Amino acid sequence: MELVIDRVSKQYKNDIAVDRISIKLQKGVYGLLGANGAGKTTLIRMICGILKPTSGTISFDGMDVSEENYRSVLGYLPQDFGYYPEFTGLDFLLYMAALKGIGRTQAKQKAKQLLQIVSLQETAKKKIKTYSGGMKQRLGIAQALLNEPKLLILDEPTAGLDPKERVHFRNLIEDWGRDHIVLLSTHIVSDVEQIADQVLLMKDGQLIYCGKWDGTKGDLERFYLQQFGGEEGNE
Amino acid sequence: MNRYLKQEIKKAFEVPVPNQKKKTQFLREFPRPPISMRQFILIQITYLRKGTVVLSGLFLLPVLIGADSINLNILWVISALIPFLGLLAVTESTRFAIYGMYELEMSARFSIKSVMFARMSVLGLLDAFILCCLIPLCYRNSSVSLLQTGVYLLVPYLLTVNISLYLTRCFHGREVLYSCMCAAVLISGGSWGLHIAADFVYQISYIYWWIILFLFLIGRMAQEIYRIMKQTEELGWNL
Repeated sequence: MELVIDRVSKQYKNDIAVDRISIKLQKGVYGLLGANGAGKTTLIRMICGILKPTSGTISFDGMDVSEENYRSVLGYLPQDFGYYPEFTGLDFLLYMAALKGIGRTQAKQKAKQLLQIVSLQETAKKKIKTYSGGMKQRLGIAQALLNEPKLLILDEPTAGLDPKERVHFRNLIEDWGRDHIVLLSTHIVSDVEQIADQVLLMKDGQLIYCGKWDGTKGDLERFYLQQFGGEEGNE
Repeated sequence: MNRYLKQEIKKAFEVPVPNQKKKTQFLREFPRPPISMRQFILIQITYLRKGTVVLSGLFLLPVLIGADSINLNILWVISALIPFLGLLAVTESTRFAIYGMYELEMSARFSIKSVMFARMSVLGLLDAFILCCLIPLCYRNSSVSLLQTGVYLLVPYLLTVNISLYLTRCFHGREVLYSCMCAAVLISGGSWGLHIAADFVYQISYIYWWIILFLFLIGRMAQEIYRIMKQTEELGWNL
């Protein structure tokens, strides 16, 4: 199980959002840290096949990012996601399951199971528009897990979650990361410190740090603040 | 199984305590057949909004109430209302752009392209059926030929579809819905206004211009569908 990102760049006219990033990810939880505008979301969108790289390639176990097989092993939680207004939480999961190619019977079972995991089973039949921000985020996490993804990409997954939900989420991701690749993008340093096996730090579209972070290297938050001039990371 | 045999097996073999973790792992890795494209299209039909199907179906009302038997010339009324049929088809096929579902739908196995293809095919067939029912009906009580009736209904329909597809490519969120609605209202009003103020354009001598316009709009629609499909390959909506 390996995700290979090979010299990937994304350029918008004169602005380079992602600059020649190369990295190989194997089983485990990877925390992608960076200030706003560092290029995290652009990189994530390229890994999910939503944006095409200006140059470079992305593949998972030999499958190119543009292939249907690649998307069938992918679970993605975007930073912001919409929903159809008439959908209940359960409808949303069943609809996403259909898009992921999961049969109706299996989708129902899986949706029920995931709604329980994210503690939404009691509100499953309520319209999503009545949900709080945290509930929507938990629903987003549930849809990302529907197809048992080998590659799970989460963009700002803990935004809107209360402390109890955040702990529950950390455990869930930790568990998932044992057998799969999990990449979570955030600017909340404590989330990365507690969940991630490896830290990826992005600045101005480049990967400035990649590797394990242990106590011997000092405080991750302090290092982060040094890199970003103390403007970010106090959450 | 024979009860005695069951008891003997129980004595001979102690059933191991189920390991929940291994069970979950087994179920996770258990291969399940994914759904086919045909099944996917059928599933997508169930996700079409009932309101869209019912409103589209209302266009068959003149057929259902027997407008031809009461000698009612409904060609100009239908010609003015038909842009809304096009509006319904486009806004339903491109709902992901209105409600911000593109990122989720683009990253799924059946991506937006498949969703849009499925919905456009189903709604296109529904609209084709409705138009096939309306054209002969409008022709019966009107003073124009069948060919004229066809183009007078299809031109406003295709014009709305073309403009709405273009607007869907340019805008995102609710802007798509509102701009498409504006276009449909303007085309509807324009169609009715043309009938009142410049009736001469509906004379038989202008039929070639109408046919050229019809063919041009068919070509443009194919181009617009291609462009919007292309746009769904990469996040083309400015977030």
